[in-house]
Amino acid sequence: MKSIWTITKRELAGYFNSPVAYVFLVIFLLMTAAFTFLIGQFMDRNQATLQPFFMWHPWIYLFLVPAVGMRLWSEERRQGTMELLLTLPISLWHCIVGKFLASWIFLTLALVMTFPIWITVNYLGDPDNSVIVASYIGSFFLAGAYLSITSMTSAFTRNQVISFILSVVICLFLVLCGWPPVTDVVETLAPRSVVEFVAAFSVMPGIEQFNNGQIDSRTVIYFLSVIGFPLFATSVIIRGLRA
Amino acid sequence: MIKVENLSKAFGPKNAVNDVSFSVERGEILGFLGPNGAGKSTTMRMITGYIPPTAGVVKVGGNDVTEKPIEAKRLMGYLPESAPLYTDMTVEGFLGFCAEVRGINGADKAKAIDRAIDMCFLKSVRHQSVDTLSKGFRHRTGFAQAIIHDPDILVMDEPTDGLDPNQKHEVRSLIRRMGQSKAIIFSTHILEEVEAACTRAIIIDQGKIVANGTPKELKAKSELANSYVVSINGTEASAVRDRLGSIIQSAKVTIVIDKAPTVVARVFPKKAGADGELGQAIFAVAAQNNWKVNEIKKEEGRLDDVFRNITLSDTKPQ
Amino acid sequence: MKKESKYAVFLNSIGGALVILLCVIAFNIISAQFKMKADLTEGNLFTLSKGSKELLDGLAKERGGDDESSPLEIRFYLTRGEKGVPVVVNEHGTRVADLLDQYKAYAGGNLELQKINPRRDTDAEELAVNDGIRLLNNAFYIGMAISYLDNTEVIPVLDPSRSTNLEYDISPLPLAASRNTFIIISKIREMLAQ
Repeated sequence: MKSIWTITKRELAGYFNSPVAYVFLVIFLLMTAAFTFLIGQFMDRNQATLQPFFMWHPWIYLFLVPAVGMRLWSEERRQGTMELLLTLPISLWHCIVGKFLASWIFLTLALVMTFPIWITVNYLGDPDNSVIVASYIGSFFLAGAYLSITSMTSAFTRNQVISFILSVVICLFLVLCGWPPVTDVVETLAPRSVVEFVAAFSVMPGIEQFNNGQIDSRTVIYFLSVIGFPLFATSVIIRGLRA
Repeated sequence: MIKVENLSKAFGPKNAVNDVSFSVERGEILGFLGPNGAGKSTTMRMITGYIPPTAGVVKVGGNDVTEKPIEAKRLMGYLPESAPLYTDMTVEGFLGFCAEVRGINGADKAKAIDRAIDMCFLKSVRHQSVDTLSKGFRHRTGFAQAIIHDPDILVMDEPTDGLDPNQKHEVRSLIRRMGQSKAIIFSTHILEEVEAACTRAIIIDQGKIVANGTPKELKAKSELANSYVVSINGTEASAVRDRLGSIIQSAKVTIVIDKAPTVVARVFPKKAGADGELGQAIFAVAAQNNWKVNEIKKEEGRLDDVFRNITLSDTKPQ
Repeated sequence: MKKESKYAVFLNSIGGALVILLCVIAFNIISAQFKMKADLTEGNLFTLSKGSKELLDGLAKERGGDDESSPLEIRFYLTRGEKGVPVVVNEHGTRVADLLDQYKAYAGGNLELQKINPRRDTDAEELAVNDGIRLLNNAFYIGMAISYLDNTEVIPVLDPSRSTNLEYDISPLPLAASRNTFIIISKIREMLAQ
């Protein structure tokens, strides 16, 4: 257990030693604000809800989370430190979890830094705060899911850009396969049951549930699966690379 | 402490390491010699658990590296060929990380870092970021990482690669010192390093072991071993060749240098045990002919000779 | 000569990974049957209230398990995919649709739910007009009709605000939506009472 934390600490320090982390935080906060106030028409709606804030997260995360996670394993391979890490007395699984946690903590920090908007909506009106809590939890899981996928793609290649693109594509699929505008179109082409089955793989219905203040066991299991399986796949890939 | 049994590694159809067996005990410093691509690094990577073997067993301190990797890795310090480091950390930070992963914390950690920094002469760069270090310092930081937990077993892949002669000398004496109480294996191209630091050497070629013995034993395999090199003034090469060639114990005489007024000749003994008598015979002949002997030396044999003869590098005509 | 056990080797291969993936999917499907939900909204918007459940239980009793008798029909109209539909309307409509899904899930065969998208100049629009749903902003419909036996109750506009020209107050959404729920329930109650 302690060795996981050692890895996490090192990785987190690595993030904050580079200006990229701060740039990312600023961009994330600016983008969420822009989408909420300008495109989501937060002020015009006159409603005490943070829906116009949370509804953009699946799209904003789509690019920002892979940007954070793409260096996770690509960097180790490029620098050659994989050889160092894997000959230390620490299991591969601990390394994977440790690095993942570091990035997840960083993303959660970014999410927490959006608290001013929560304060704002409480100042302007009387929102349902437990719904907002549920929405934050949903966003937290969403970031973790995208991140886990990025961890997997970054183990796959030495090149951070390829890792980024692969991750975006996979996450985009997970968004679109359950996004009503897309499913409505696909329904005209394929049988409903097939569309519904594929849509069950999507993060959108789950996020909608969280944003509606519902915490459903099925959705939690879904997110834990989308976080857990790619991490397992990461270990398969890394082992396979050295076989 | 390191036991390698029938170790093999295949990358696709190619056999990088082919049925290699050897062992290293405490107090031994094993030199791993071989041409590029012979399988040295691959073997070391299997010992340290970075690559899984295709066949065979590696036991480190009694632990099978495949079955008990964590226990095995705990006992070893490893310096890979590329001396990889985390470039976004300081030297001290990096060593601290390595110590922590190995379970050294608190006051012990500080002590271990100090010790490693002293031993590897890293004091002046202690707080410097790794990416600003010169090659020599980088290598030494990698070395420091390998010894930070004072392991019983050290595995090093070309530890003096890229260092200047002074640094090479320091690293070699460090290895010699530590070798007294540890089991050390290191790979190198530099033959004089083997003589300088190893108690035993293995030559590996195309994945197979082709020689295994102390440096002395290996040198003795040289064709030049036990021959005499004589430097003579006051005569001509032909006379030297004839007179020395007629000695009973001599099998062959070659003229090495023929530059007036000196002739340098190499006399090969007929059979191994006869070299003592050959030496005396040479003296006798020289005295008889009134030659002035500048120097007479018995050849121990040269490693590069042995090396070139028993390894099939691609520079040799087949 | 033992290497990694056979299981470990397989597990770590692509084949093994696929097997694990299938297991994960299967686990998700199975556990979806045993749903546990926490509803954090004020007023428990998305969980059927006791009142609603009692209502639907009453409906079930009335039908008495008779498959021949006609069930309670709800026709829900929401225009999608047209320009000029405010985002808020879309969201609100989706929430109501979700609630109706809950009713349907609870009532099973006793409730027939139709979700209709009355876009301009379509047959669906005719259905909406026939049911008395009101066109808003000259662009969209959001309303529903509830029929049981021979009676039909209509909610021409599922409008969270008080006024009908779409001025949305600074009113908390839960209260507004629960107002709609209340309307729906009372309409159904009225109908069953006839």
